[in-house]
Formats: sequence, structure tokens, C-alpha cells
Amino acid sequence: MSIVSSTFTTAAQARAAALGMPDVKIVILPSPLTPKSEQEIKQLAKSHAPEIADALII
Amino acid sequence: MKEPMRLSSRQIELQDSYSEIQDYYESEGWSDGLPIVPATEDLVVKMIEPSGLSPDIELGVIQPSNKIVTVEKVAINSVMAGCKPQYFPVVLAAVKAVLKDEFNVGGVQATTGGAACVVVVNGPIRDQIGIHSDAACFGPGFRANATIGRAVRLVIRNLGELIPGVMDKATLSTPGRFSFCFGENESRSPWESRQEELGYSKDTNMVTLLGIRGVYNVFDSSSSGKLALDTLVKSVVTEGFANYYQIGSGAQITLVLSPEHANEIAAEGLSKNDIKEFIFANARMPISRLKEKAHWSNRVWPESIDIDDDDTLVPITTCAEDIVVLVAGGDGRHSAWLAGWGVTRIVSELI
Repeated sequence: MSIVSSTFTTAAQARAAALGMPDVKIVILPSPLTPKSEQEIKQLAKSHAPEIADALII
Repeated sequence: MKEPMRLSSRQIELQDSYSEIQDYYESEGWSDGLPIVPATEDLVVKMIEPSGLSPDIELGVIQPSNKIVTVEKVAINSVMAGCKPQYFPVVLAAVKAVLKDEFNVGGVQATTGGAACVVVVNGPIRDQIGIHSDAACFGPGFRANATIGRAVRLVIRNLGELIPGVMDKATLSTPGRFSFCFGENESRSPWESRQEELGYSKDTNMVTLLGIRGVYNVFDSSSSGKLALDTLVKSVVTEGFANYYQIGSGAQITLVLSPEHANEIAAEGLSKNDIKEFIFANARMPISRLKEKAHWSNRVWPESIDIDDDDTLVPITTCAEDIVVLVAGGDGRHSAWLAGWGVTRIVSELI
């Protein structure tokens, strides 16, 4: 699985296809990430944890 | 009798019409937006033949497409860019440099930073094939510069599949992505040239690839070389210069000195290494000026940087060796920084 910010959604999909894994699970976080504080990033990670855990299960 | 060269690429038949051919290349997404030279079989063969190489030789795998790059594919893109066959060895060397892991082409050409891929050429081949290194060498007007830089970018686009909006996610990108190639002005430099710095003779031909954020031109008409150097260094002590935030991931920087600045600095006894040490010692930002703005959220700091101490001075690179100094251009009081980007390293390759 892969985690990207929404800016890179098409890049992640194209990269997955290039690596022969077009159906790989991609968790998309809302852009922009860079202005967010460390606390906000931690909160974002927490809120997406179930989705990430789900994507890790084959 | 010599066997005719066999190419393996797919052949396409089109009407012998300028507009149809251009429209076809554009519709397939194989163009940088400018008209291309149709890569006919005879032109591709003529591009490869003088090199004596087999078209199926594999140069490596390009990212992010994960595709194999062959001599033939590079030749096709060189034809499309308008290269003469005598330029081909330079393009091949530049592509080999692009394929090095540390250049990280899949990263530097995909990020929102939109870095340009710069080809710097050293050695006698510059004069032999007409790579310009004097007046206006960053700009248009010189076929070798224009088409070698374009060929490398077409390889990155067409083989690496770094298509704008898909894998190339540059916010703005840069005109330098059409083409950016120049020679070091070795005959007007007071110092050893790039290939000599790396331990080779002056007769060695070499390309150096830089992934750069942009060209920051600095004008200085001081009467002293050291004062000019001081102006150059002070011009990059600013929060908007991403280098400071990216030293933890290996950001480098290149200073291109005009011959006038270079010779005045040399006349005051400074070597290229002295300049690098001067930049490293003086291009430093108090960390208090970097906090909570610009690229602070990059959060990649080397252990030597104490982010809790406001008196910490952050250098523009982690060491003086990460600064490259070149001499290029013509008369005038302008030198330029080619700002680095934290996901790529400067690489060189013999031609």
C-alpha cells in the first residue's frame, strides 16, 4: 500500500501501474500537508489510521 | 559487408505531411510542446552509427516509469530534439548520469518544486561540437546547447513518463525544463575546471547533471572580487531559499561565476576551494528566522542542528564539498546561483 497527499494522486496511480501493481491500495491524505503543525499531522495520521490499517490487510 | 543496423522500436506510417506528423506526436504526448523532428529510421540509424554502439544496449532503468532505457530510445529522442549525431555521446553520458540512483530523477522531476535538469559539459568536446560557454550561454541561440538539453528532457518525459499533471506534479515548473545545457568556460576560468576537480585531466570530457530550483542572477559591480563574493553570499541568506530547510536530505548548491567575477576573486588569492569554504562559513541562517515558515515543516534536520537553540546557524549545505563552483558566461558583472533541491544529488559522468 501507499500513502500520498492528494496532490500526488495521479502520480501514485501512474507509478503503481508502472510497477505492475495497478490495484495497489493508495490512502490519500488531503493536501496541503506542509503548512500543518506537527500536532495537526499527528491528528491526521490518527484519523486515517483505520483506513491505513485496512489497506495493509491483503 | 556490414549488416544494416536493426532497430526494434515500433514503426508508424504517417502521411508525408508536416502538420499531420506534428499533430500525431503531440496527440501521443511525446512532445514538449515545441515541434519535433520526426524520428525516421534513417535519422535514428545515423544518430547511433558514429558511436559504434548497438541500438539494443541497455543504459539502465528510468524512474518513475520503471522502463529500460536503450541506446535506440535515447537516439530517437535525440533526433526528435534536433541533435546532430556528433552530439549523441554527450546526450548518452547525460542520460547515464540521469539514471544514477543519487540523482533521483523520479523524485526531482516529479515534486511540486519543479526543478530543471541542467547539463553542464566540460572538456575539449565543447569546442569540437559547439557547446557554448561564453556570452548568453544559459539562453537560446546555440544548437548544441539547445538540442542536447532538450534531448535529455525528452528522455525524462517520454521514457520516464514524467508527464505534466500526471507524474510531473510541479506547481509552476520552469522554462529550464525545455532545455538547459551549457559548457564551463574553461578558457576564461582562472581555476581548475570541473573534471580536474574530480581528478581527471583537462582533456577529459565530462557531463555534470544538476537538479535545480531555479537561476538566481546576482549583479555586483564592486571593485573587489571579495566584495562581489560577499554580495553573492548575502543574496542567498534568505528564508525563501529552500536549501537551508533541506540540508538534512542532502541539498547542494551551485554557484556559476562570470569570468569577470571569477578572475577578480582569483586575483585576490582565492581558489575554488577557498570560495566553497567562504560560502559554507558565511551563507548561514539563524534558525530563529527559519522557524514556523517557508519549508520548516520539512522536519529533516541533521543531528548537528539544534532546533531548540535560537542561536543555531544553519549552513546552506552540510559541508563545503556540497557546493559546486563553475565559471561560465561572457563579459559583465552577473553571476548566478543554481539553487539545489533536497531530493537530488549532483552527478557527473565521463563522455
